[in-house]
Amino acid sequence: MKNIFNCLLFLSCAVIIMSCEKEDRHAKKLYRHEGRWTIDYASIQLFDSTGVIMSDSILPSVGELVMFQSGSLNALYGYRQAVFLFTDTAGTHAFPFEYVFDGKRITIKYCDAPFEIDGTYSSAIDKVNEQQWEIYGTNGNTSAISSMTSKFILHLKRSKN
Amino acid sequence: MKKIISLILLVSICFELNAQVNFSIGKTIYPLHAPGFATFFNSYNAELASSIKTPFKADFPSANGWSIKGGYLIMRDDDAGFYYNTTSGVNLLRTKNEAFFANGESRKTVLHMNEWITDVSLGVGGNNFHIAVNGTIQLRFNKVFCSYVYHDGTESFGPEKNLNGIFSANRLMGGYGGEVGFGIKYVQVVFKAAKIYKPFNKDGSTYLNYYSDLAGYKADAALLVNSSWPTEYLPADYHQFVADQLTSESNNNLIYINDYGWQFGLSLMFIIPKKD
Repeated sequence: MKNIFNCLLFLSCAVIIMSCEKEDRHAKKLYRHEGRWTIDYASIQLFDSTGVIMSDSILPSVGELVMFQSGSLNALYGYRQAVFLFTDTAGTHAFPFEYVFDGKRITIKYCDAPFEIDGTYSSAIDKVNEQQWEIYGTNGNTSAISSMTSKFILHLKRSKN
Repeated sequence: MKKIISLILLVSICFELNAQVNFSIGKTIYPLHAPGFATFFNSYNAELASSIKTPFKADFPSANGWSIKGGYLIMRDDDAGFYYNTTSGVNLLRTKNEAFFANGESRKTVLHMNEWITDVSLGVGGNNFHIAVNGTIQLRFNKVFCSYVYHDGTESFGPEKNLNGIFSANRLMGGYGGEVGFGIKYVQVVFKAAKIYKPFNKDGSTYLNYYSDLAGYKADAALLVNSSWPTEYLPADYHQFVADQLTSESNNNLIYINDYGWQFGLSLMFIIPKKD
């Protein structure tokens, strides 16, 4: 009987933990296991007014993101530190930045890399080993109803070390 | 963490007091009335009437979800004595409302209501049957996921649409009602009904009660988009919001937790017998 009790107690605790501190749980997904993510590809899609893709430019791996647990200067808002290891023909260069992630959105800021990654993304894929972040453009039209004219995609896979 | 420690302490004390520990898991349905959201949905439908194919429903449909609770009870075995049960646990409720536009896109609002509940029931009954009145206190952590769904099914929480965001609000709620349970020995099926109301701060004047998105996404987004300032509070009257966003916020044209209605629960209660 005591085993059943312990089991139920554990289950209750698990549910309670799951019901709170969700933002930490989502951020943890990014920084655990050394927090290294390879940018599998980056893509820019342009759409016409009917929603048909006009062009789809895909850029293969441009480097790696290393997400840390430690808070940044904006830790009050949940921001953590990270580094973009940008790779080009001259080698790999490190660019620090800050990020905040709640499972649905991720904001990246203060990254000075030549390959622009700053912005507030929507999370399209949120898995332990795979992430896809997207920024949608409406050609400056901020009205309540306006179709998407562009989509910037960052597709990440957890780095294998 | 405080909740977990409280729960462990509560259960430990019950064991020491030789009370009967019980756990329950069940389904909850809450046909809520949320006046703030009703104002938003109706004004949004009216403002964009010419572009809307299927408008928002007038209010959120019934929220439903799961509850898991634990506590202790005092009762006799012969179904004829005093029945006292106090439980604590979580109630996770979900509901959504969506407006579809003529261009095939939509505005979606999903409401998550995560409640930390403490119930106290007083009545008569025992192992096979009980009937009781109950009071409930709910510490409510609500979130509204407000997104725009594009033609290809892409769901955006990004800053390109002013209303996109995840808006949170907290509030202490109360309730009263009754329950009836039937069962055999250590397992009972319990039907519970409680009327939910706002015990304190009826005008919702504290900012904790307002649905706000202050996590730092919005301020940065505004700098990046360099267009209109993304809203940090969900507006109640959409006409007023569209007319002048800043005045709308300063005039308290905001939605706060002020829902009410009856909450119904059907659960299985497992009773762990007393120590001999």
